[in-house]
Amino acid sequence: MTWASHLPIIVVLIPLLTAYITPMLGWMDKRICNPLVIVSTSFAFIASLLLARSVLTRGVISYHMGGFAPPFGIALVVDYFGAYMCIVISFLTLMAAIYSREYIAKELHESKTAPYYTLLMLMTGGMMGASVTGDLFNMFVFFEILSISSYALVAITGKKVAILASYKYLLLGAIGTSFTLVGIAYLYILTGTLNMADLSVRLASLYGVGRSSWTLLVALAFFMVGYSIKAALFPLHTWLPDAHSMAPSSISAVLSGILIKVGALALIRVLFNIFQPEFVVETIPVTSMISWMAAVAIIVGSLFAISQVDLKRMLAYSSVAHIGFIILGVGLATGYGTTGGILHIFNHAMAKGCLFLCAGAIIYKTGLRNIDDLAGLGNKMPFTMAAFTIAALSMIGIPPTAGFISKFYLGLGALETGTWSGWVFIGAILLGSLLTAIFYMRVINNIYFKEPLHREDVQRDETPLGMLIPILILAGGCVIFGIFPRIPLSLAEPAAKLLLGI
Amino acid sequence: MVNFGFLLGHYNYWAVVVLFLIGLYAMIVKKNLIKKFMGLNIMDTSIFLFYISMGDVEGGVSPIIAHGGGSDVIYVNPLPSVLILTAIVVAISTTALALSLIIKIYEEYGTLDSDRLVELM
Amino acid sequence: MIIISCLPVIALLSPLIGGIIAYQAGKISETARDLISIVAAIVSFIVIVAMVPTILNGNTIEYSFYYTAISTLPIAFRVGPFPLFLGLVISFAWILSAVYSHRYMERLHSRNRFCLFMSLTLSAVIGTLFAKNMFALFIFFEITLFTSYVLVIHEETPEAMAAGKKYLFLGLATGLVMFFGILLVYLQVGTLDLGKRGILDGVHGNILYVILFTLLVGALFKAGMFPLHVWLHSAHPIAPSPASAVLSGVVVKEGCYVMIRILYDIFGVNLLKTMLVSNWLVLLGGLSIFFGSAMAIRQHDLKTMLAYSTVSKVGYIFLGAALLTPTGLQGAMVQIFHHLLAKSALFFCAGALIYKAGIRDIDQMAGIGKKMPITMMVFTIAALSMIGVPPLVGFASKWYIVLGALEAGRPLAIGFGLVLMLSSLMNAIYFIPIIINAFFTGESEHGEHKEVRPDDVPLSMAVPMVILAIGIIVFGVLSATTSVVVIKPTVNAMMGL
Repeated sequence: MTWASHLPIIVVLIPLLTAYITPMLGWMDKRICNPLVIVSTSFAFIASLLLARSVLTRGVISYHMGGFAPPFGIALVVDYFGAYMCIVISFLTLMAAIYSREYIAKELHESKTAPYYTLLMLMTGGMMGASVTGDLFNMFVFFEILSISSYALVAITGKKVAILASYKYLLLGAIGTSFTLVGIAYLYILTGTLNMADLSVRLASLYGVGRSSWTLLVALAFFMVGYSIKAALFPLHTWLPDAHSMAPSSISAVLSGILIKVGALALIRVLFNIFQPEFVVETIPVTSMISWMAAVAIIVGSLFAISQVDLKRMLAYSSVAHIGFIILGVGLATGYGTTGGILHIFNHAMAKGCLFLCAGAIIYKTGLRNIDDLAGLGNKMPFTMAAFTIAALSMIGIPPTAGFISKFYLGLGALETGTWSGWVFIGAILLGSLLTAIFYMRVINNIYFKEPLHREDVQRDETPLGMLIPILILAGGCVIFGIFPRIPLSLAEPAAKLLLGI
Repeated sequence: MVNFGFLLGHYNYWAVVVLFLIGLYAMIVKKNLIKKFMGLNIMDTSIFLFYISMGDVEGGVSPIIAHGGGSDVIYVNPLPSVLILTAIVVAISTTALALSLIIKIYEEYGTLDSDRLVELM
Repeated sequence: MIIISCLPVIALLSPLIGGIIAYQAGKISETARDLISIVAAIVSFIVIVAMVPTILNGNTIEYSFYYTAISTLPIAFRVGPFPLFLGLVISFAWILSAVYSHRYMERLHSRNRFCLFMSLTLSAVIGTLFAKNMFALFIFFEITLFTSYVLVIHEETPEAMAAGKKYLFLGLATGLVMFFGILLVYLQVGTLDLGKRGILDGVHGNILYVILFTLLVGALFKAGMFPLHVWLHSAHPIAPSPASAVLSGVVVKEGCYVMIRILYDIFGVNLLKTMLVSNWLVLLGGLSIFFGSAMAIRQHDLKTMLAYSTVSKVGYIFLGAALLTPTGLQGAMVQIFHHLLAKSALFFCAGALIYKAGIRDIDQMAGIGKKMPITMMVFTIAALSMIGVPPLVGFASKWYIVLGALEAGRPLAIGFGLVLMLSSLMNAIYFIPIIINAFFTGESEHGEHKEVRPDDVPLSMAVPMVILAIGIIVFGVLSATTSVVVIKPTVNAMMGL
């Protein structure tokens, strides 16, 4: 056993341990929190990359906590998808952490610095854990860690609206939690195990067996509702626009960029790891059901986004639409479609992360939130706005940005189903892309081509370097991974194949 | 033809269902934020009961091996109870957070009525 | 023989990098900025010229970035004769446009941005021409839409924004439809390579018609074909004149080029003949010719009239290509080259009129020929070529298209020979009065341009116009030679003869 074989637990422990160290050190000196978090997230990122490499070379890694073999011990199972998610999570958290240094100093009261970083690390630990765990109840626990810390982070500014948004998020999130807990109970009654691999074997023998299969369906329904709330899948998205627009922008980036994707991850785990693909695709068409819901989410989310006047709220509704793209891809349950969905997790994380960070930079510099007031910013903050434009183009799916590649895969996946509903789905994808263009082009037109009201608006006043660097890295990523999409695809493709069993 | 034996034999599950629905009802219908949250707690409690009753074995004893034990002793399944301990901890932290949020909301808005809050937002 | 060479990439990157450098330089010196962008276009031109001998010897040049894009669809370039010569003319027109805009733009705002996006558009157009597969082609095709959008809305007036909005969103929508078609092709045959003369051979059924329709929607939008021309007459005139020239002269040709690649490389002549769509496509081309000419006659704004004239000329190109005969395709190609030169020249002239005399309206042009002789001479030559007067190059194009129609031998096709004649007449109706008015009528009583002294436009604007006019005459006279040397082999290759 070399240290490398402990990587699955290392990626979870780094952020969690940092979460415990941060308040202690922060109590002594607040300035130490940020470097500490950046260093530990960097380590988590490197560990995730190493983990991905070892998954790619050695296949799926099963790590037994304390040496107890499953199904009795708790197992961490890192497949391609889990390793992929770890990279996305640690990467975006790292960007948010770098960004936070200057952003938080202005946005939050000094006394909240240490709690902010503690909660951020707890949330990251929860997300990492949910990605690598192979145990259903363990997943529930990690989900609670990330959910509760995210409720608190939404409210951390202490603004009136933020607290209310956080409460709304908490109530719906708690319902989601309860539902998943009931789902777990059903599965436990049926099988007596909580290990995902073990569950899928035992459940396979119950498909279509009298009353058990009904119980199975109820369990599946509870999971679907519970995790759809966490993933903000339409029509259970109502908490998202408030929570994501009211949180500090660095947190909005993490929430919109990856937290809801972890909900999608849980849905994927339930659909394809616990239940078998042939059951959810053919016996009862759950996947096609969630695809329809996702298609509606794309259209409705985009339409709502068009009608927004607040920039961050618009971005939040755009997330509702894009979680639709991801779930649609997953629900298609075809090689291309699921690859596209998984790929879009990464592409959307980069683009939406960048957009929220840019929105934060705008608020940081000018205090503006209203889309119509953004005139003249193209000259005022040229780099930030260039990054915003690139990320927005990636959201629309304009080549050569990364969003185009995921659109390509999703479209192929929809057509690959070969049914009439596939044509409807591709219609939704293309229409969604066009609607996305409408609201992002409105912002871009305002930024660059609209006469500003005041002359001082066009004085050059760029975002501070510490905040600009993560923004530029993410925008650069949108282009680089659009031109070289094989880098994320090298994990996303085997991940989809493994999940679908093809 | 209603099988009363079946219904009565599963009285614990009926209690769980009723509690769950009461909780859900309170969460949806009640306007007061605290009552909403109490609904959530009732719902959570019903789930805890569900877990504990499913782990119970008729005539079983606590799974503590005393005096060397014996092969004829029936133990209840300890795992659901262990799981639910974790879930209770989770529920408590959620409750703590929610109550602190409620206090802040009351300080900021002066009301806990959800309709009024929507107007004030 | 296939030669691996990075020359196409250099041709693509030099305007891209040059544009970015020029943008930065523009903050210090305007002259330096324009010089850099001209040099970038010249470098691109020279690099394309350097590929000519290789291509004329019957080779193709290829270059792939193997690690880009999706495994079977890398961003790759292949240069054959047709893209090469089109690229040659386009980059040449771009040099002229860059020279022209130096003085023209000095009265407008955001000149650095204009310069940058002109260069980016050139880069994207060259990328479209040299793309090896439909995937790479689509990437550059979409980039062109966005970069040219910035050119369209340059003025930032409400009208410009409205025209730009129409252009952008219709472009995006049709682009998505085309994207759908590309996905269908890829799922049907598993490749998007443009080098195989009909990759869809072997596919049967209605799906072929769906693919044809969806792909053509994207290409014909960019080409401004009727009925997808609705953006063209508002977007082209509203842009600054150098941009109008490249939009109408070049970006529209990009659409025509993609259309020809779709017809001849994705479908192939044989498949299209079995699909029996030729007559319908010819009909569509005929409608575009007729409609464009009819609308052009009604216009009073010179640039709008020129834009409608573009709609009609694109109809010629489409009609020639849709005849599916070698001579028809030859006519379409000559028309592409001709229209590129002539329409750029006409828009340059229109720009000169705006720059010097502030004239946008045709009725104000009375007597302007005496004051701006060079401009109006160039205008006359280009207009005569548009009408199709021999020996100008426009005549050669129409001649080939008529021959192609006769070659196709279908009654409908012959009927369109007549349409061609009719449209030439219509062209004459809207161009000849302007010329007569400009040269032979006294100054109008309104006297809008009394203060214009008879010294014509600055040299840097006159030279590009004159070069284009000379080009129109020279290519017209030499059209027989050029078509044997350049066009004929290309056509034969595309027809698979």
